[in-house]
Amino acid sequence: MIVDDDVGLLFWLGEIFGKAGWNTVPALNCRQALTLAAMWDSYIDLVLVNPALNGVNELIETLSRVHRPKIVVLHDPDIEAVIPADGELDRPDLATSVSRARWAERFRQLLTKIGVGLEIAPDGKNGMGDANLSHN
Amino acid sequence: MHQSDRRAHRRYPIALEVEYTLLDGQGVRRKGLGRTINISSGGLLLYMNDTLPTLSSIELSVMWPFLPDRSLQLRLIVRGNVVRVATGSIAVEATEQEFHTSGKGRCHQ
Repeated sequence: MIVDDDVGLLFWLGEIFGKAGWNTVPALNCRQALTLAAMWDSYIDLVLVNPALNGVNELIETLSRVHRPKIVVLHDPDIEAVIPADGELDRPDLATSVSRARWAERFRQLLTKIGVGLEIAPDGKNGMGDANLSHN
Repeated sequence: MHQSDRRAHRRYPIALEVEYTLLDGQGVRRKGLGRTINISSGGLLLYMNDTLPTLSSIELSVMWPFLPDRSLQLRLIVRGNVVRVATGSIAVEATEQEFHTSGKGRCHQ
């Protein structure tokens, strides 16, 4: 599940995971995320969330109780928000293929560190390339 | 730079099919298809063969393509205005965005 008010980021991250064979559920806010989580038949393994959104603590508490997912927060550098999470990363700068590739590598390393393997090939058509992802 | 200003420049390149509905005061004026060039929090840039009038109201519908088992279908609905028209492309400024589910309810932003 990806929860962010930037719809472009939802699509971009959705494509990363989609190419790796994962289903991803997007939400533009925490209320919507809770609604979609209740409709979702499968377990949610991983949540990427903007910690500045309203209701983020309730969202994480609820998802953690039901699904026990790994939580990764994507920060805006100038916004301080502290929530319980397995990992954190600055939001991606996707202006160039180089910045996209750098961010993707940091993202891969973070997911590996928290027990989710992600391999991202060199920059592809949309700056992501094919990916292989595994659950631990 | 303010957060919203910075985000307005954060454009994500992604190519997806879009259904558009051009609206006027009486309702639907025209429907057609396009393709996204990039998407940002503030709007979308689209390839489009049709010529649309600048400042017209438009609704865009994009299927969320990353749920291959189709157990839950999601569609992004963007409402906004055509703010720029060039040969083969248009820019749409978003005023409202929401995900719709397939017959199980609706999730507003």
